[in-house]
Amino acid sequence: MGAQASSAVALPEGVLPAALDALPFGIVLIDQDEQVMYANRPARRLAADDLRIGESVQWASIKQPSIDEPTGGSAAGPNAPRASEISAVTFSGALVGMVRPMRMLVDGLDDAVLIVLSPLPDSEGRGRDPEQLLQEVEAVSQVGSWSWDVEADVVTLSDELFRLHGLLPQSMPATAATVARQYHPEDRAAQFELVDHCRRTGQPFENTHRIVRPDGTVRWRQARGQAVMEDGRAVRIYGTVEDITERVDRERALRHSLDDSRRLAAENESLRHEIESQLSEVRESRLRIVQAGYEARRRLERDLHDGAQQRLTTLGLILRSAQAQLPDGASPALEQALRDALVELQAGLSELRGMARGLHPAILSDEGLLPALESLVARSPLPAQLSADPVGRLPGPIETTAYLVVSEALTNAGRHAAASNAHVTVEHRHELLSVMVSDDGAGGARVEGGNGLRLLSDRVAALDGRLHIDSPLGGGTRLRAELPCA
Amino acid sequence: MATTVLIVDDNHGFRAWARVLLERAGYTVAGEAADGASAIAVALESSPEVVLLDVQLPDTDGFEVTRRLRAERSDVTVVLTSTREAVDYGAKLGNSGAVGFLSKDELSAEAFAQVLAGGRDRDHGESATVPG
Repeated sequence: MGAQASSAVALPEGVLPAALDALPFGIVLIDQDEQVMYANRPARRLAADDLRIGESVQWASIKQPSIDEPTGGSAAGPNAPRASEISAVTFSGALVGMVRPMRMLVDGLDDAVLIVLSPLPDSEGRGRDPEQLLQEVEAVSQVGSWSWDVEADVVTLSDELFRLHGLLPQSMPATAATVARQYHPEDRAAQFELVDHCRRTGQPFENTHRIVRPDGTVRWRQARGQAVMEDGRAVRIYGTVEDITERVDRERALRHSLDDSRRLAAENESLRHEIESQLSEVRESRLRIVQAGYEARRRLERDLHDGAQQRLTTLGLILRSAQAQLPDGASPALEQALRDALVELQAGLSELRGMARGLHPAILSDEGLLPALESLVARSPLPAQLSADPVGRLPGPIETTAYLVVSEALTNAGRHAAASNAHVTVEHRHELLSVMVSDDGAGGARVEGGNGLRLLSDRVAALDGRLHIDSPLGGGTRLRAELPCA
Repeated sequence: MATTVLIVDDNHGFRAWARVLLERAGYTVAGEAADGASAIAVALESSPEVVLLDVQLPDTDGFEVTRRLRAERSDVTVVLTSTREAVDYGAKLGNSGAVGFLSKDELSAEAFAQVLAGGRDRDHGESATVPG
């Protein structure tokens, strides 16, 4: 750079200053009176108002220049950095960078000094101020730092820590007492004790506590600290504070959610038990109702047998005795009356017997299911056959239900489906009694269709069994009852 | 000589009128009993040739009494009776040892005689029809 360069190439006016302004570091040219002859834009931006062309430099070096070797000739002003010196320089009390002065010859000037200021911080962070970098890191991580000069009771808080406390950075002087006032009342004593323990023993600490911000909001913090000991006494304690409120909130929400889930699961379990218990009660109750119904039918059959049937039977004996005692030549009308009476009595007894048998056939109680079914098939007006596995005695309700299934099916086949034949099959395998009745009738039977099938289905279900009906129109009916008899 | 008959039934009215019916038909009623235990006692004491025995008794049933009677006296002839029909007892009747069964509302001197005749036929090795 210099007059020669500029004279060799005809640069357009203003190109050199623009190029100098574009440099990533400051350049200041001063004369021997420390008057600023030139300062490029980065230098002017660094020094703010302290660099004015034609005025003396208002700077202060925070490090006294050390003279490596005597410089020949007169140096620039008394405060100016000497050639070959490197100093940190402040303008208006603020550190602006490193200074590398060099002596150079400028036409018409003796002892002019070119000062190169270190590169300015740029957007890529090159040459960043470590302090600023720390602040940025603290802000992003929501971690603040602090230091307590124990003897002076001065607490230095980082900007981020002020923000974590809900305060403007460096907005108030801090002491141990002012910091402690922000602890949550419930955590204050423990926090005092912790820090005091560190102060007395020098042992580092780490804990979680709460603070209350000036606006009343409560924040959770994770604190770590350790002491600098001198002669067995803590002279300084420093540490970091991380705001973990969001994490605590998330954990608490998760815990509540887990608690809710557990509670819900427990309630579901309790509800399930209750429902199972109720279901069990309903099942038992239904079974008791069915059993009570069977018992009532049996009692009624016995009452009919021991009572009305017995009396009417005796009446028949009396009438036949009377008939036998009629003298020869007795009134034909009287003879006829006795005959008619006996016929009517016989018919009535037959109906009564059928009714009693329909209520509960004695043979079922006396002999069991198969003899009862053999009797039923033998009496059936509809021709029917019985095929059966050997079946011993089974619990009364099972025998009665199986019998009623066959009885009802045969009645329906003959009475409603106009069947001409039916087949009854009984299987007893794996503790399951299956009773099937198939006929060649009109079909179309449904549980919902009446004919006693609904009642039958309920009776089977009361024993935890199942009733299947396959009855296509015109295709006969296959009715199957499955009764567990374990 | 008239056939002697023991009538066993817990219903007094039935016993009385059965006695009338049978005596009028020429049978000799050797005794009456209202339950199984007394039936066996009276039968052993009075040795009837025939016992008209109700199936339903207060203390036992007619099948058991038949078995015990036949065990004591193999020559006794038992005719079972009931307000129910033979079909209500199934195969049990055939294995009971009785010569026959009469539903009470069918009981007449003629029917009784027929059953006894069937029993005698059987006893003589001829085919017999057990009612029911």
